Amino acid sequence: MNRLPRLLIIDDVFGRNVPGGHNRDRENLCAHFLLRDVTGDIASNTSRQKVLRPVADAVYFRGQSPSESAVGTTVENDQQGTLNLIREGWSVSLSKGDTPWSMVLIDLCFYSGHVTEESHRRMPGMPEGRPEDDDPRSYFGLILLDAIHREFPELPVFILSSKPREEVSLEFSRRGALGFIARDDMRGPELLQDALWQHGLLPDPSEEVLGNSLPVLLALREARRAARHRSNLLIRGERGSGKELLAAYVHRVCADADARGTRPFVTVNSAVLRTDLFASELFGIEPKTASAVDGRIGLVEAADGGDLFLDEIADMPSDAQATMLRVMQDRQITRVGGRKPKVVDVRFISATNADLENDPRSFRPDLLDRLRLGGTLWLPPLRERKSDIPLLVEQFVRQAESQRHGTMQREITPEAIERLMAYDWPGNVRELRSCLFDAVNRNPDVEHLVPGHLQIAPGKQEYQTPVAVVPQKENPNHKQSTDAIMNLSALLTMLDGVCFDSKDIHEWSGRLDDLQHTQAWVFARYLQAALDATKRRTSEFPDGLIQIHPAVKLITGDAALPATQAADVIKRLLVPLEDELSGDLREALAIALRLRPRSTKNSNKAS
Amino acid sequence: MNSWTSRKASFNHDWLRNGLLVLLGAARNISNGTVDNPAVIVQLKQEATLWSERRQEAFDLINSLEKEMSPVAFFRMPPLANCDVEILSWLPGLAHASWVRRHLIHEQMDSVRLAIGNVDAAFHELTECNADSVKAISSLKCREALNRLSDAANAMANAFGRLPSRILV
Repeated sequence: MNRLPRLLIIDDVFGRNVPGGHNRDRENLCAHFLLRDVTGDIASNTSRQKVLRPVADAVYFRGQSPSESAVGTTVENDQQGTLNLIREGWSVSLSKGDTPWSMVLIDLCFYSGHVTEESHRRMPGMPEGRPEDDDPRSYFGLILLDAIHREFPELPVFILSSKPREEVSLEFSRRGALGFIARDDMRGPELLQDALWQHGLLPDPSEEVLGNSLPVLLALREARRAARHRSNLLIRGERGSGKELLAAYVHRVCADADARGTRPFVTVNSAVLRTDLFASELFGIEPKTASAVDGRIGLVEAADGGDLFLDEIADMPSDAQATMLRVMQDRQITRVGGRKPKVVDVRFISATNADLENDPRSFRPDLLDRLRLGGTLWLPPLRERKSDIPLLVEQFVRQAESQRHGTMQREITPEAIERLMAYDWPGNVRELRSCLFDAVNRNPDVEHLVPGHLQIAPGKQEYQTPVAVVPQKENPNHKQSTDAIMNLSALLTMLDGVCFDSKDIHEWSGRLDDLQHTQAWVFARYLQAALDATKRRTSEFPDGLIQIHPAVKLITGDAALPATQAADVIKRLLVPLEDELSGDLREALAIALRLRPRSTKNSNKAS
Repeated sequence: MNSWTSRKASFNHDWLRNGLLVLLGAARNISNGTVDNPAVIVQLKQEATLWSERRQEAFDLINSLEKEMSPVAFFRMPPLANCDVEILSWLPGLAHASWVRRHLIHEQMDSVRLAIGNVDAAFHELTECNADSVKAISSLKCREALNRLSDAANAMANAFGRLPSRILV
């Protein structure tokens, strides 16, 4: 569904209701700027005008009361009424998941006072005006601008006026307006379209990046602004938040604006970069007739003139990083086996969920700077845009239904929506999609999607770092298995609240060793997670080599921790379990003991 | 705001910029098929008919600029009105001449009169192409006439806009 942007135009002349109904001035303004009047008042309901290719829908408001006036009426500026209307189209819409105002356009000079015979003759319903109305120092439009910017700082506001721009250019900038469009400018429609594209809050018309929430609309706006240039972009966001979709949006809006036609969009699977073949995948192979080697173009060359999307760049091994840096600096590639370099014009759009600046896997800072030369786009996690969940649910359920023949089209009950809104979705949009596809696939013959069809973790109200407890078969260090997922903070809270009843001796007496042993394994599993996260993967060791120093720095949060102290921490955590360890944990303890051998005097037991 | 400034605002801001130029923008989009509203063409024809009155209003405005916006007005009220008769015999004239020179008043007035003449010619051209229907206004001749009228009206608005909005010295 291609929805038009929704504008609010606050203007005393064009927003007023004219006695008799027909506001010819408003009609002409709509025809000039290619706007569809959707105000819903008498003026819009009596108009017969049709704008065949509108740029936006427009809601008009006089900014004064009363909205309709005749000879003898006194017209006064109405700041509160204006703010109330803006709130309705902003805060209320955002909370309901409806599209909020894409932009507000404000006039500068609002004539107030009595409607006289003479003023009514000149323009029906318009008052005579007071001297201060036409004083640039006290334009009501600027007062409104101030109030709007204070309460709605994210709402884009433009001045739409036929007063001279130079009279107010400093003031409107100070008060938060993003620009000025002269009402009588013959390029009006083009200027408005451009203003909307650059500054407006517009949902993705293709609904690939689906959402009407403010965080998503702001991300889309930043994406459009970034799309105007060919510099590299970095997209940051949690896993499953839609980084690839946003990259595709950047590419798409760039292609829409580009008169030269469609540019290529190539996606690089990060797994490619972890193999020995990454060079041939990225840069291609030179054909050799003598050895019958078939040539092929690489991914970078395939993206020439367009965009190359690099996902999960934090996983890029160091040799691939060095190569990519050279390509970005020199803007040329040489195919494997080739001699002649080829100049390429590629914009690199990369994505990551890692904190690269502080990642112990050491991402090259010079490469990072190149990747974000054109800026960084931030995608909000789903928990920060929950008002979009109903829209996403509708989309995913219909997608799931269309993929499965014979599946009924179901209604999604309010209780199911409520259930979905209560969860924080650590896996973000991807997790939501999986949940809904699963619900549809397992229940193909129902007309209603109810909470019982949804498989999501119960009682998860606040997002915190998940601590996965790994089943026994995957981790031989475990004695007991469970597949529950619990927040670390929830775990700490639970442990903090643990009490032992002094009267219940039979329950807890003689169990100190068990308690210590379980505690030791909790610490060991905590360390295991850090070892997994900090593994160094190379072509020689694709599964990765453990690094005890980065792992201990990660769990202690101490970036300056010396390696010897890291070894001491490992010993303290793992020596109590020495006889039970295997795999990474066993190797970690061995490395720590080589660095800090056991003292012959002390036992080195955990203190 | 004095009477002349008020009349200028009524002519240039209310009628020309908010009225005629917006109407011409609407008419342009009628002529290129992006808007459907025959009432705009009727309105444009009315403006062409009423142009002779507006033209007179424009000329009256520009012809009265020198008298109504001259700093001589300051000498008609205290404190300058209390000056010696001898000083009042030459100082107002000097102030006026200085104002005319410093702010290029005659040049600006000529510029406005030229702009009015161009709008006059453009209205005449539009009238001649009989733009009284959607089909007629969509013809190449009428669209060109419409563009010329838009340009001329815009230039006239800018010329009036450069005139003083308050009495200067």
